[in-house]
Amino acid sequence: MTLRELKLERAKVVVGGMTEGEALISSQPITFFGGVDPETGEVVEEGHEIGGERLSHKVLVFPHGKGSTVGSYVLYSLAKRGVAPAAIINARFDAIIASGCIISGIPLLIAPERSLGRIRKGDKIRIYGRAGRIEVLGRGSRTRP
Amino acid sequence: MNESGASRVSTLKPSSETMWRLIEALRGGSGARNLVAIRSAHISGVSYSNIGIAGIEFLEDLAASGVRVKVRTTVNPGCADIYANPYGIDGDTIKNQRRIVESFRKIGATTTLSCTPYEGHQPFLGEHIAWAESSAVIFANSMFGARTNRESGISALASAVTGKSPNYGMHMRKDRVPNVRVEVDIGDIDEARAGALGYVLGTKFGSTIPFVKGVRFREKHKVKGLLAAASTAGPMPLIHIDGVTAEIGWARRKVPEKVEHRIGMDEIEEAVEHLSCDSEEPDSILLGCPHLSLEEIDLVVREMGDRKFDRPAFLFTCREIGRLAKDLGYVDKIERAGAAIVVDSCIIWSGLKALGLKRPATNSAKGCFYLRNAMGLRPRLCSVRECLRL
Repeated sequence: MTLRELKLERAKVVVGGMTEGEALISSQPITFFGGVDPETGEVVEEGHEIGGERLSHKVLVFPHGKGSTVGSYVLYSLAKRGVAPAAIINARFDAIIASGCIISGIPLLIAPERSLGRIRKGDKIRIYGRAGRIEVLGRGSRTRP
Repeated sequence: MNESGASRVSTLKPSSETMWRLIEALRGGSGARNLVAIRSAHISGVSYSNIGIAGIEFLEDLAASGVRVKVRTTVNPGCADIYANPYGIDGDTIKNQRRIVESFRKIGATTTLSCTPYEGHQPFLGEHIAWAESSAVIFANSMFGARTNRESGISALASAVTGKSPNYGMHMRKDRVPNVRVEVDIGDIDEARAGALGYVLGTKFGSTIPFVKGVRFREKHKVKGLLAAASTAGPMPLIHIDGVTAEIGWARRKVPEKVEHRIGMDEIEEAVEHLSCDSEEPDSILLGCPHLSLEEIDLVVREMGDRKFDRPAFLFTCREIGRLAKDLGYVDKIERAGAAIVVDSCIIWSGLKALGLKRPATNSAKGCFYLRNAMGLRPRLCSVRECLRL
Protein backbone atom coordinates (compact mmCIF):
# COMPACT_ATOMS: atom_id res chain seq x y z
CA MET A 1 0.00 0.00 0.00
CA THR A 2 1.58 3.27 -1.12
CA LEU A 3 -0.96 5.50 0.54
CA ARG A 4 -0.11 6.83 3.93
CA GLU A 5 -2.27 5.54 6.74
CA LEU A 6 -4.87 7.92 8.03
CA LYS A 7 -5.26 7.64 11.77
CA LEU A 8 -8.49 8.82 13.27
CA GLU A 9 -9.29 10.04 16.72
CA ARG A 10 -9.70 7.26 19.24
CA ALA A 11 -13.23 5.88 19.34
CA LYS A 12 -15.26 4.52 22.23
CA VAL A 13 -15.48 0.74 22.12
CA VAL A 14 -18.83 -0.96 22.69
CA VAL A 15 -17.89 -4.34 21.18
CA GLY A 16 -14.22 -5.12 20.67
CA GLY A 17 -12.50 -7.15 17.97
CA MET A 18 -9.88 -6.61 15.30
CA THR A 19 -11.21 -6.54 11.77
CA GLU A 20 -10.83 -5.05 8.30
CA GLY A 21 -13.27 -4.11 5.59
CA GLU A 22 -14.35 -1.66 2.95
CA ALA A 23 -16.22 1.38 4.23
CA LEU A 24 -19.91 1.76 3.42
CA ILE A 25 -21.25 5.11 4.53
CA SER A 26 -24.75 6.39 5.23
CA SER A 27 -25.43 9.88 6.52
CA GLN A 28 -28.97 8.72 7.32
CA PRO A 29 -29.92 6.56 10.33
CA ILE A 30 -30.57 2.89 9.55
CA THR A 31 -33.45 0.71 10.70
CA PHE A 32 -32.51 -2.94 10.56
CA PHE A 33 -36.06 -4.20 11.17
CA GLY A 34 -37.86 -3.68 7.88
CA GLY A 35 -34.93 -1.77 6.42
CA VAL A 36 -32.44 -4.62 5.87
CA ASP A 37 -33.15 -8.10 4.52
CA PRO A 38 -32.29 -10.46 7.41
CA GLU A 39 -31.24 -13.24 5.01
CA THR A 40 -29.05 -11.34 2.55
CA GLY A 41 -27.98 -8.14 4.28
CA GLU A 42 -29.31 -5.99 1.46
CA VAL A 43 -30.63 -2.54 2.40
CA VAL A 44 -34.26 -2.66 1.29
CA GLU A 45 -35.70 0.50 2.86
CA GLU A 46 -37.35 2.46 0.10
CA GLY A 47 -35.62 5.72 -0.73
CA HIS A 48 -32.71 5.06 1.62
CA GLU A 49 -29.42 6.64 0.64
CA ILE A 50 -27.65 3.26 0.58
CA GLY A 51 -30.69 1.32 -0.69
CA GLY A 52 -29.68 -1.76 -2.71
CA GLU A 53 -26.22 -2.00 -1.11
CA ARG A 54 -25.19 -5.16 0.71
CA LEU A 55 -23.76 -4.80 4.21
CA SER A 56 -21.82 -8.06 4.18
CA HIS A 57 -18.21 -7.70 5.34
CA LYS A 58 -18.36 -3.90 5.08
CA VAL A 59 -17.30 -1.48 7.76
CA LEU A 60 -20.65 0.22 8.07
CA VAL A 61 -20.55 3.87 9.07
CA PHE A 62 -23.79 5.68 10.00
CA PRO A 63 -24.93 8.14 12.68
CA HIS A 64 -27.27 5.92 14.73
CA GLY A 65 -30.14 3.45 14.50
CA LYS A 66 -33.84 4.15 14.20
CA GLY A 67 -37.11 2.21 14.27
CA SER A 68 -38.15 -1.00 15.99
CA THR A 69 -36.04 -2.54 18.74
CA VAL A 70 -36.48 -5.86 16.94
CA GLY A 71 -33.66 -4.60 14.69
CA SER A 72 -31.21 -6.21 17.13
CA TYR A 73 -32.40 -9.66 16.02
CA VAL A 74 -31.87 -8.79 12.37
CA LEU A 75 -28.19 -8.17 13.07
CA TYR A 76 -28.08 -11.59 14.75
CA SER A 77 -29.68 -13.19 11.70
CA LEU A 78 -27.08 -11.58 9.41
CA ALA A 79 -24.23 -12.81 11.62
CA LYS A 80 -25.63 -16.34 11.66
CA ARG A 81 -25.70 -16.36 7.88
CA GLY A 82 -22.26 -14.85 7.53
CA VAL A 83 -23.56 -11.72 5.82
CA ALA A 84 -23.17 -9.26 8.71
CA PRO A 85 -21.09 -6.11 8.45
CA ALA A 86 -17.43 -6.65 9.47
CA ALA A 87 -17.87 -3.80 11.95
CA ILE A 88 -20.12 -0.84 12.66
CA ILE A 89 -19.03 2.70 13.48
CA ASN A 90 -21.73 5.01 14.85
CA ALA A 91 -21.63 8.66 15.87
CA ARG A 92 -23.97 8.12 18.79
CA PHE A 93 -24.65 5.23 21.15
CA ASP A 94 -27.90 3.56 20.18
CA ALA A 95 -29.38 0.77 22.29
CA ILE A 96 -30.82 -1.17 19.33
CA ILE A 97 -27.57 -1.25 17.38
CA ALA A 98 -25.50 -1.90 20.51
CA SER A 99 -27.74 -4.80 21.60
CA GLY A 100 -27.61 -6.29 18.10
CA CYS A 101 -23.82 -6.04 17.89
CA ILE A 102 -23.30 -7.56 21.33
CA ILE A 103 -25.44 -10.64 20.71
CA SER A 104 -23.92 -11.05 17.24
CA GLY A 105 -20.27 -10.36 18.07
CA ILE A 106 -20.02 -7.52 15.55
CA PRO A 107 -17.35 -4.96 16.58
CA LEU A 108 -19.01 -1.62 17.36
CA LEU A 109 -17.26 1.70 17.88
CA ILE A 110 -18.64 5.14 18.65
CA ALA A 111 -16.54 7.83 16.99
CA PRO A 112 -16.94 11.62 16.91
CA GLU A 113 -18.75 12.89 13.83
CA ARG A 114 -15.74 14.88 12.63
CA SER A 115 -13.77 11.64 12.56
CA LEU A 116 -16.47 9.86 10.61
CA GLY A 117 -16.48 12.71 8.09
CA ARG A 118 -12.95 11.80 7.08
CA ILE A 119 -13.89 8.28 6.01
CA ARG A 120 -14.91 7.87 2.37
CA LYS A 121 -16.96 5.19 0.69
CA GLY A 122 -14.74 2.31 -0.36
CA ASP A 123 -11.88 3.21 1.99
CA LYS A 124 -10.11 0.18 3.34
CA ILE A 125 -10.53 0.36 7.10
CA ARG A 126 -8.82 -1.53 9.87
CA ILE A 127 -10.26 -1.56 13.34
CA TYR A 128 -8.36 -2.38 16.50
CA GLY A 129 -11.39 -3.08 18.61
CA ARG A 130 -9.92 -3.21 22.09
CA ALA A 131 -8.08 0.08 21.77
CA GLY A 132 -10.76 1.85 19.75
CA ARG A 133 -8.26 2.62 16.99
CA ILE A 134 -9.55 3.15 13.45
CA GLU A 135 -7.09 3.27 10.57
CA VAL A 136 -7.71 4.02 6.93
CA LEU A 137 -5.31 1.80 5.01
CA GLY A 138 -6.39 2.68 1.50
CA ARG A 139 -8.54 5.34 -0.07
CA GLY A 140 -11.78 4.66 -1.90
CA SER A 141 -13.70 6.98 -4.20
CA ARG A 142 -13.32 10.75 -3.79
CA THR A 143 -17.01 11.42 -4.12
CA ARG A 144 -18.92 11.24 -0.89
CA PRO A 145 -22.44 9.93 -1.21
CA MET B 1 -23.63 -18.05 1.59
CA ASN B 2 -19.85 -18.09 1.68
CA GLU B 3 -17.25 -19.90 3.72
CA SER B 4 -16.71 -17.24 6.31
CA GLY B 5 -20.46 -17.41 6.86
CA ALA B 6 -20.29 -21.08 7.69
CA SER B 7 -17.52 -20.50 10.19
CA ARG B 8 -19.44 -17.69 11.87
CA VAL B 9 -22.48 -19.87 12.53
CA SER B 10 -20.64 -22.16 14.89
CA THR B 11 -19.12 -19.28 16.87
CA LEU B 12 -22.39 -17.55 17.73
CA LYS B 13 -23.43 -18.75 21.16
CA PRO B 14 -25.36 -16.24 23.19
CA SER B 15 -25.17 -17.04 26.90
CA SER B 16 -25.68 -15.41 30.26
CA GLU B 17 -22.27 -13.77 29.73
CA THR B 18 -23.65 -12.15 26.56
CA MET B 19 -26.58 -10.83 28.58
CA TRP B 20 -24.24 -9.39 31.23
CA ARG B 21 -22.19 -7.69 28.51
CA LEU B 22 -25.41 -6.29 27.10
CA ILE B 23 -26.52 -4.84 30.44
CA GLU B 24 -23.06 -3.38 31.02
CA ALA B 25 -23.02 -1.78 27.54
CA LEU B 26 -26.49 -0.32 28.05
CA ARG B 27 -25.36 1.06 31.41
CA GLY B 28 -22.38 2.74 29.73
CA GLY B 29 -24.47 4.04 26.85
CA SER B 30 -27.13 5.49 29.11
CA GLY B 31 -24.58 7.19 31.34
CA ALA B 32 -25.84 5.30 34.41
CA ARG B 33 -23.25 5.01 37.17
CA ASN B 34 -24.40 1.64 38.43
CA LEU B 35 -26.94 -1.13 38.06
CA VAL B 36 -30.01 -1.57 40.21
CA ALA B 37 -31.49 -4.91 41.33
CA ILE B 38 -34.94 -5.51 39.85
CA ARG B 39 -37.85 -7.54 41.23
CA SER B 40 -39.53 -8.53 37.97
CA ALA B 41 -39.07 -8.38 34.21
CA HIS B 42 -41.58 -8.23 31.39
CA ILE B 43 -40.41 -9.07 27.88
CA SER B 44 -41.80 -7.82 24.55
CA GLY B 45 -40.84 -9.03 21.09
CA VAL B 46 -42.71 -12.30 21.54
CA SER B 47 -44.94 -12.27 18.49
CA TYR B 48 -43.71 -14.24 15.49
CA SER B 49 -45.19 -11.61 13.17
CA ASN B 50 -42.90 -9.11 14.88
CA ILE B 51 -39.56 -10.86 15.51
CA GLY B 52 -39.67 -13.36 12.65
CA ILE B 53 -37.20 -16.18 12.10
CA ALA B 54 -34.31 -13.91 13.14
CA GLY B 55 -35.78 -13.57 16.63
CA ILE B 56 -36.62 -17.26 16.95
CA GLU B 57 -33.05 -18.23 16.12
CA PHE B 58 -31.67 -15.95 18.81
CA LEU B 59 -34.13 -17.09 21.48
CA GLU B 60 -33.58 -20.77 20.71
CA ASP B 61 -29.78 -20.33 20.79
CA LEU B 62 -30.02 -18.47 24.09
CA ALA B 63 -32.31 -21.11 25.63
CA ALA B 64 -29.98 -23.87 24.42
CA SER B 65 -27.11 -22.29 26.35
CA GLY B 66 -28.92 -23.14 29.58
CA VAL B 67 -29.52 -19.59 30.87
CA ARG B 68 -32.31 -19.12 33.39
CA VAL B 69 -34.09 -15.97 34.52
CA LYS B 70 -33.25 -14.64 37.98
CA VAL B 71 -36.52 -12.82 38.70
CA ARG B 72 -40.18 -13.37 37.93
CA THR B 73 -40.45 -12.85 34.19
CA THR B 74 -43.60 -12.53 32.12
CA VAL B 75 -43.96 -12.17 28.36
CA ASN B 76 -46.05 -10.15 25.89
CA PRO B 77 -48.71 -11.67 23.61
CA GLY B 78 -47.87 -13.53 20.43
CA CYS B 79 -49.73 -13.37 17.11
CA ALA B 80 -51.99 -16.42 17.53
CA ASP B 81 -53.52 -18.89 19.97
CA ILE B 82 -50.79 -21.52 20.39
CA TYR B 83 -53.16 -24.43 21.03
CA ALA B 84 -56.30 -23.85 18.96
CA ASN B 85 -56.73 -22.52 15.44
CA PRO B 86 -60.41 -22.09 14.63
CA TYR B 87 -59.84 -19.14 12.26
CA GLY B 88 -57.56 -20.74 9.70
CA ILE B 89 -54.29 -18.97 10.50
CA ASP B 90 -51.53 -20.59 8.46
CA GLY B 91 -49.85 -23.54 10.15
CA ASP B 92 -46.30 -22.19 9.91
CA THR B 93 -47.25 -19.08 11.86
CA ILE B 94 -48.68 -21.18 14.71
CA LYS B 95 -45.69 -23.53 14.66
CA ASN B 96 -43.20 -20.65 14.81
CA GLN B 97 -45.18 -18.91 17.55
CA ARG B 98 -44.98 -22.13 19.57
CA ARG B 99 -41.19 -22.28 19.11
CA ILE B 100 -40.92 -18.81 20.62
CA VAL B 101 -43.12 -19.69 23.60
CA GLU B 102 -41.15 -22.90 24.12
CA SER B 103 -37.85 -20.95 24.23
CA PHE B 104 -39.22 -18.60 26.85
CA ARG B 105 -40.41 -21.54 28.93
CA LYS B 106 -36.96 -23.07 28.72
CA ILE B 107 -35.30 -19.99 30.17
CA GLY B 108 -37.80 -20.02 33.02
CA ALA B 109 -40.19 -17.23 32.03
CA THR B 110 -43.89 -17.49 32.90
CA THR B 111 -45.41 -17.49 29.44
CA THR B 112 -48.42 -15.36 30.28
CA LEU B 113 -48.61 -13.97 26.72
CA SER B 114 -50.20 -10.90 28.24
CA CYS B 115 -49.56 -7.19 27.72
CA THR B 116 -50.98 -6.39 31.17
CA PRO B 117 -48.51 -8.02 33.59
CA TYR B 118 -49.81 -5.70 36.31
CA GLU B 119 -53.03 -7.74 36.42
CA GLY B 120 -51.04 -10.64 37.87
CA HIS B 121 -48.24 -8.84 39.68
CA GLN B 122 -48.70 -5.39 41.14
CA PRO B 123 -45.35 -3.84 42.00
CA PHE B 124 -45.00 -1.81 45.19
CA LEU B 125 -44.39 1.92 45.34
CA GLY B 126 -40.73 2.53 44.52
CA GLU B 127 -40.07 -1.06 43.41
CA HIS B 128 -37.46 -1.36 40.66
CA ILE B 129 -38.54 -3.49 37.72
CA ALA B 130 -37.44 -3.88 34.08
CA TRP B 131 -40.43 -3.96 31.81
CA ALA B 132 -40.83 -3.68 28.08
CA GLU B 133 -44.25 -3.01 26.46
CA SER B 134 -44.82 0.73 26.61
CA SER B 135 -48.40 0.53 27.93
CA ALA B 136 -47.33 -1.67 30.85
CA VAL B 137 -44.34 0.58 31.58
CA ILE B 138 -46.43 3.73 31.80
CA PHE B 139 -49.10 1.93 33.87
CA ALA B 140 -46.55 0.57 36.37
CA ASN B 141 -44.74 3.90 36.73
CA SER B 142 -47.89 6.00 36.98
CA MET B 143 -50.42 3.83 38.83
CA PHE B 144 -48.09 1.97 41.22
CA GLY B 145 -45.14 4.34 41.41
CA ALA B 146 -42.94 1.42 40.39
CA ARG B 147 -39.70 2.28 38.61
CA THR B 148 -38.88 1.14 35.11
CA ASN B 149 -37.57 2.69 31.94
CA ARG B 150 -39.11 1.81 28.61
CA GLU B 151 -37.10 -1.34 27.99
CA SER B 152 -36.85 -3.10 24.65
CA GLY B 153 -37.59 -6.82 24.32
CA ILE B 154 -33.91 -7.64 24.39
CA SER B 155 -32.90 -5.31 27.23
CA ALA B 156 -35.76 -6.66 29.38
CA LEU B 157 -34.57 -10.18 28.54
CA ALA B 158 -31.03 -9.25 29.62
CA SER B 159 -32.45 -7.82 32.87
CA ALA B 160 -34.46 -11.01 33.46
CA VAL B 161 -31.30 -13.10 33.14
CA THR B 162 -29.02 -10.81 35.16
CA GLY B 163 -31.58 -9.47 37.64
CA LYS B 164 -30.23 -5.96 37.01
CA SER B 165 -31.11 -2.81 35.10
CA PRO B 166 -29.03 0.34 34.44
CA ASN B 167 -29.80 2.87 37.17
CA TYR B 168 -30.95 6.00 35.34
CA GLY B 169 -34.13 7.74 34.17
CA MET B 170 -37.28 6.37 35.78
CA HIS B 171 -35.22 4.56 38.45
CA MET B 172 -34.17 7.96 39.85
CA ARG B 173 -36.66 10.14 41.66
CA LYS B 174 -35.25 13.34 40.14
CA ASP B 175 -36.23 12.23 36.63
CA ARG B 176 -39.80 11.48 37.72
CA VAL B 177 -40.56 15.08 38.64
CA PRO B 178 -43.35 16.55 36.50
CA ASN B 179 -42.13 19.39 34.30
CA VAL B 180 -45.26 20.46 32.43
CA ARG B 181 -48.67 21.34 33.84
CA VAL B 182 -51.65 20.48 31.65
CA GLU B 183 -55.28 21.20 32.52
CA VAL B 184 -58.13 19.20 31.13
CA ASP B 185 -61.55 20.79 30.84
CA ILE B 186 -63.93 17.93 30.17
CA GLY B 187 -66.75 16.11 31.92
CA ASP B 188 -67.05 12.36 32.21
CA ILE B 189 -65.98 10.75 28.94
CA ASP B 190 -66.19 7.19 27.59
CA GLU B 191 -63.17 4.87 27.29
CA ALA B 192 -62.60 5.62 23.60
CA ARG B 193 -62.35 9.34 24.33
CA ALA B 194 -60.16 8.72 27.39
CA GLY B 195 -57.78 7.03 24.95
CA ALA B 196 -58.04 9.98 22.56
CA LEU B 197 -57.12 12.28 25.47
CA GLY B 198 -54.05 10.11 26.06
CA TYR B 199 -53.21 10.36 22.40
CA VAL B 200 -53.33 14.17 22.58
CA LEU B 201 -51.07 14.13 25.66
CA GLY B 202 -48.59 11.79 23.99
CA THR B 203 -48.50 13.80 20.78
CA LYS B 204 -48.06 17.16 22.49
CA PHE B 205 -46.03 16.28 25.59
CA GLY B 206 -44.38 12.97 24.71
CA SER B 207 -40.89 14.05 25.70
CA THR B 208 -41.95 15.50 29.07
CA ILE B 209 -43.29 14.16 32.36
CA PRO B 210 -46.72 15.83 32.42
CA PHE B 211 -48.85 16.68 35.43
CA VAL B 212 -52.50 16.55 34.39
CA LYS B 213 -55.26 18.23 36.37
CA GLY B 214 -58.98 18.03 35.73
CA VAL B 215 -59.45 14.39 34.74
CA ARG B 216 -62.88 13.57 36.19
CA PHE B 217 -63.18 9.85 35.56
CA ARG B 218 -61.82 7.32 38.04
CA GLU B 219 -62.48 4.01 36.24
CA LYS B 220 -59.34 1.91 35.92
CA HIS B 221 -60.05 0.83 32.33
CA LYS B 222 -60.33 4.44 31.17
CA VAL B 223 -57.05 5.39 32.83
CA LYS B 224 -55.46 2.30 31.28
CA GLY B 225 -56.67 3.35 27.80
CA LEU B 226 -55.46 6.91 28.36
CA LEU B 227 -51.97 5.81 29.42
CA ALA B 228 -51.64 3.21 26.65
CA ALA B 229 -52.51 5.77 23.96
CA ALA B 230 -50.19 8.39 25.46
CA SER B 231 -47.22 6.03 25.37
CA THR B 232 -48.08 5.05 21.80
CA ALA B 233 -48.09 8.65 20.57
CA GLY B 234 -45.02 9.74 22.55
CA PRO B 235 -42.03 8.24 24.36
CA MET B 236 -43.24 9.27 27.83
CA PRO B 237 -42.85 6.59 30.52
CA LEU B 238 -44.93 8.34 33.22
CA ILE B 239 -47.85 10.74 33.63
CA HIS B 240 -48.95 12.19 36.95
CA ILE B 241 -52.75 12.55 36.98
CA ASP B 242 -54.27 14.53 39.82
CA GLY B 243 -56.49 12.32 41.97
CA VAL B 244 -55.47 9.18 40.10
CA THR B 245 -51.79 8.23 40.07
CA ALA B 246 -49.53 6.93 42.85
CA GLU B 247 -47.00 9.72 43.36
CA ILE B 248 -49.42 12.59 42.95
CA GLY B 249 -48.77 13.93 46.46
CA TRP B 250 -45.19 15.01 45.91
CA ALA B 251 -45.74 15.57 42.18
CA ARG B 252 -48.27 18.28 43.08
CA ARG B 253 -45.63 20.07 45.15
CA LYS B 254 -42.98 19.90 42.42
CA VAL B 255 -44.93 20.83 39.29
CA PRO B 256 -44.48 24.31 37.76
CA GLU B 257 -47.37 26.72 38.48
CA LYS B 258 -47.73 27.88 34.91
CA VAL B 259 -50.39 26.07 32.88
CA GLU B 260 -48.73 25.03 29.63
CA HIS B 261 -51.85 23.85 27.84
CA ARG B 262 -55.60 23.33 28.28
CA ILE B 263 -57.32 20.42 26.61
CA GLY B 264 -61.03 20.70 25.85
CA MET B 265 -63.60 18.39 24.29
CA ASP B 266 -63.01 19.79 20.78
CA GLU B 267 -59.39 18.68 20.80
CA ILE B 268 -60.41 15.20 21.97
CA GLU B 269 -63.02 14.82 19.22
CA GLU B 270 -60.41 15.98 16.72
CA ALA B 271 -58.13 13.16 17.90
CA VAL B 272 -60.99 10.64 17.58
CA GLU B 273 -61.43 11.79 13.94
CA HIS B 274 -57.70 11.59 13.33
CA LEU B 275 -57.42 8.06 14.73
CA SER B 276 -60.45 6.81 12.77
CA CYS B 277 -60.19 6.25 9.04
CA ASP B 278 -63.01 6.94 6.54
CA SER B 279 -66.67 6.67 7.38
CA GLU B 280 -67.31 3.33 5.68
CA GLU B 281 -69.15 0.80 7.81
CA PRO B 282 -66.84 -1.24 10.09
CA ASP B 283 -66.69 -4.95 9.20
CA SER B 284 -65.70 -6.20 12.67
CA ILE B 285 -65.27 -5.26 16.32
CA LEU B 286 -62.04 -5.71 18.28
CA LEU B 287 -61.88 -5.10 22.02
CA GLY B 288 -58.93 -5.53 24.35
CA CYS B 289 -55.92 -3.37 23.54
CA PRO B 290 -54.34 -3.53 26.09
CA HIS B 291 -55.76 -6.93 27.10
CA LEU B 292 -59.14 -6.92 28.84
CA SER B 293 -59.13 -7.44 32.58
CA LEU B 294 -61.86 -9.51 34.20
CA GLU B 295 -63.42 -6.23 35.29
CA GLU B 296 -63.58 -5.02 31.69
CA ILE B 297 -65.03 -8.32 30.48
CA ASP B 298 -67.74 -7.83 33.07
CA LEU B 299 -68.31 -4.28 31.78
CA VAL B 300 -68.67 -5.51 28.18
CA VAL B 301 -71.07 -8.25 29.22
CA ARG B 302 -73.22 -5.79 31.19
CA GLU B 303 -73.15 -3.30 28.31
CA MET B 304 -74.28 -6.11 25.98
CA GLY B 305 -77.40 -6.91 27.98
CA ASP B 306 -79.62 -8.76 25.52
CA ARG B 307 -77.98 -7.21 22.47
CA LYS B 308 -76.04 -9.24 19.96
CA PHE B 309 -72.98 -8.29 17.95
CA ASP B 310 -74.14 -8.08 14.33
CA ARG B 311 -70.65 -8.53 12.84
CA PRO B 312 -67.57 -10.56 13.77
CA ALA B 313 -66.46 -9.45 17.24
CA PHE B 314 -63.34 -10.52 19.14
CA LEU B 315 -62.35 -9.85 22.74
CA PHE B 316 -58.62 -10.09 23.43
CA THR B 317 -57.24 -11.14 26.78
CA CYS B 318 -54.61 -13.48 28.19
CA ARG B 319 -55.11 -17.21 28.71
CA GLU B 320 -55.28 -16.81 32.49
CA ILE B 321 -58.12 -14.29 32.43
CA GLY B 322 -59.84 -16.05 29.52
CA ARG B 323 -59.93 -19.21 31.58
CA LEU B 324 -61.27 -17.38 34.59
CA ALA B 325 -63.93 -15.71 32.45
CA LYS B 326 -65.00 -19.12 31.19
CA ASP B 327 -65.25 -20.57 34.69
CA LEU B 328 -67.29 -17.58 35.83
CA GLY B 329 -69.78 -17.93 32.96
CA TYR B 330 -68.80 -14.81 31.00
CA VAL B 331 -67.55 -16.67 27.95
CA ASP B 332 -70.91 -18.42 27.43
CA LYS B 333 -72.69 -15.08 27.50
CA ILE B 334 -70.15 -13.54 25.11
CA GLU B 335 -70.46 -16.42 22.68
CA ARG B 336 -74.25 -16.34 22.81
CA ALA B 337 -74.03 -12.67 21.80
CA GLY B 338 -72.02 -13.67 18.72
CA ALA B 339 -68.57 -12.67 19.93
CA ALA B 340 -65.47 -14.72 20.75
CA ILE B 341 -62.62 -14.52 23.23
CA VAL B 342 -59.12 -14.72 21.73
CA VAL B 343 -56.16 -15.59 23.97
CA ASP B 344 -52.33 -15.60 23.56
CA SER B 345 -52.58 -12.84 20.98
CA CYS B 346 -53.38 -9.14 20.80
CA ILE B 347 -55.34 -7.12 18.28
CA ILE B 348 -52.31 -7.15 15.99
CA TRP B 349 -53.53 -10.67 15.34
CA SER B 350 -52.73 -13.05 12.49
CA GLY B 351 -56.44 -13.97 12.47
CA LEU B 352 -57.36 -10.58 10.97
CA LYS B 353 -55.52 -11.48 7.78
CA ALA B 354 -56.85 -15.04 7.77
CA LEU B 355 -60.42 -13.72 8.07
CA GLY B 356 -59.83 -10.91 5.58
CA LEU B 357 -61.02 -8.17 7.93
CA LYS B 358 -60.26 -4.63 6.77
CA ARG B 359 -62.27 -2.09 8.76
CA PRO B 360 -62.37 -3.01 12.45
CA ALA B 361 -64.07 -0.83 15.03
CA THR B 362 -62.23 -0.72 18.36
CA ASN B 363 -62.53 1.19 21.63
CA SER B 364 -58.74 1.47 21.84
CA ALA B 365 -56.92 4.58 20.63
CA LYS B 366 -53.65 2.67 20.82
CA GLY B 367 -55.25 -0.16 18.86
CA CYS B 368 -56.36 2.24 16.11
CA PHE B 369 -52.82 3.47 15.72
CA TYR B 370 -51.36 -0.02 15.31
CA LEU B 371 -54.18 -1.48 13.21
CA ARG B 372 -53.54 1.33 10.78
CA ASN B 373 -49.76 1.60 10.87
CA ALA B 374 -48.66 -1.99 11.52
CA MET B 375 -51.48 -3.88 9.79
CA GLY B 376 -52.52 -1.42 7.07
CA LEU B 377 -56.20 -1.63 8.07
CA ARG B 378 -58.81 1.12 8.29
CA PRO B 379 -59.98 1.18 11.91
CA ARG B 380 -62.64 3.32 13.58
CA LEU B 381 -62.44 4.46 17.19
CA CYS B 382 -65.67 4.05 19.14
CA SER B 383 -66.71 3.02 22.64
CA VAL B 384 -68.11 -0.41 23.50
CA ARG B 385 -71.55 1.20 23.67
CA GLU B 386 -71.11 2.64 20.17
CA CYS B 387 -69.72 -0.67 18.89
CA LEU B 388 -72.93 -2.38 19.99
CA ARG B 389 -75.03 0.17 18.11
CA LEU B 390 -73.14 0.55 14.82
